[in-house]
Amino acid sequence: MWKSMFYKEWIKVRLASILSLAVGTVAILGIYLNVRHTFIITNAHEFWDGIINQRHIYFKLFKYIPLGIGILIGLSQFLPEVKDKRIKLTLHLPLNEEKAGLKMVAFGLTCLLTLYSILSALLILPGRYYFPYEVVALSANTIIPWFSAGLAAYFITGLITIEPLWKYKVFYTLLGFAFINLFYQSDLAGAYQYAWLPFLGIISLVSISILFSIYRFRKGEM
Amino acid sequence: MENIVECRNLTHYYGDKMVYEDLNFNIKKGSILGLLGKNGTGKTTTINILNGYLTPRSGECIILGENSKNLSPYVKSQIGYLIENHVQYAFMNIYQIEKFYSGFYPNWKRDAYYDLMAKLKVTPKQKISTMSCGQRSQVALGLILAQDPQLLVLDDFTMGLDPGYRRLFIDYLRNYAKAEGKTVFTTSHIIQDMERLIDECIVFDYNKVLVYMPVQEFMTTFKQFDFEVTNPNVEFDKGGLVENYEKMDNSIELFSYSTEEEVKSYLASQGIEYSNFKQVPMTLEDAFIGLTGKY
Repeated sequence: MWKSMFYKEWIKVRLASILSLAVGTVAILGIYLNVRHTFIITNAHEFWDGIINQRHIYFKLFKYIPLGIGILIGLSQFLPEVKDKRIKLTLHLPLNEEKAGLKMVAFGLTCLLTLYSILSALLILPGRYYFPYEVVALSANTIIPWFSAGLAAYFITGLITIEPLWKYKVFYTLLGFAFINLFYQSDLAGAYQYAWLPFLGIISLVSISILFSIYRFRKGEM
Repeated sequence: MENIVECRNLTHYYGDKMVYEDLNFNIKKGSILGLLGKNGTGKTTTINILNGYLTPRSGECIILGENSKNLSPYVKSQIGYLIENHVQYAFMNIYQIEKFYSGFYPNWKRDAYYDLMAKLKVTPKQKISTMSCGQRSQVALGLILAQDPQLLVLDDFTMGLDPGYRRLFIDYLRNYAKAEGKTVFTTSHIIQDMERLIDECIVFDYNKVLVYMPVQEFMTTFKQFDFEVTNPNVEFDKGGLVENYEKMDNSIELFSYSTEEEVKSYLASQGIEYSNFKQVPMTLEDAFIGLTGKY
């Protein structure tokens, strides 16, 4: 049943996944072309000083990409379920309804983590060619809140999309916007060094929030 | 005979608007029950309660021994559910959707699905979203046949189908249900052709059940009498002998469970002068409109 469920979810998100990977890769390519251009042609000293002394982020272009991917995967996974109330078909499968919902979320999470792992590797590893270990480690620390925001956005997109009532949709959207905004409070590298663990705790709580929408749908809030 | 479905004292409201109160019905094993009613009379509400998508204000539905509010995976596997407008995972094609569903049902009958698909003029790679409503209805039916459930719940399956597909669907379904001893619960607001399908009917009107009986009994006991009255202003009291009537100038169509003699006696007792009195044969659709009215 896991296999069948994942098969359906993959059909829904494969295009969005490929598109996300392509956009992320192109952005990273752009970032390193820019780094190379700065080092070779423009002011390498100033650039280097910005990164080391002023904690500038040389890959700011990437900032909102994980967030966009989270929302895109969430929409491509859950919009087809609510169109024509197809969620009824999913909830009618010979599974516990909560398990069915969680399997969908588990697939989306797996898909996102795979995409994020690939993009993290593409973003961090080439950094070793230009920068010392300390800068690369700080870069890895810097992107964690961005990817966390992407995960949170995915779960909240699922919650909002499955939610049957508009007033709740609006409420969750405002709440989600405020929560995700917390991940983008600072533009300094490594600013969230000591904060991302509690954030991940909150995100893992948000991850099961879709069950609430499914419960309300089953109660007849349509 | 064993009941597959037992609905007891079902009451439901949307806000202050009552859908129905104390609705009771059973579906016997192997029978085909049709829930007929105009739009907005509570047909889909009943289907939603039956499938556990809606909690009634009071009362309960027992399906295969379980309360519909908490159906186990096994009982859900024994219910084939066709959603209004033949909604399916339209982002899949014929091959993908069969592959998906087959993973959930141990007794999946792949051949039953592909036999039906072979009759459609579509390619295996064609997405369901690009198919006509008739073709989609066959995909949805094929999936139910492959699932091989004990109970089929069909929500307004005639909607959007042209007469050919409607007939094809009904004939295929009835043959299958009778040959395999399946129980069917179906709703429809298009009554044409339902006569060919259902054994028993429940006719809903707004807030109430007008009829709950075998179709054959309904068709033999419910009658239409046409006549012309001298006084065009004549009115009839509904509820006693007169179930319903339609009036156009001097022409009256009167619907009743009473015999011709009883109706004539009633007219005489009311002092109503009439002529050209005759009993008119009815189809199920005529009887439905006669009972529920044109408006």
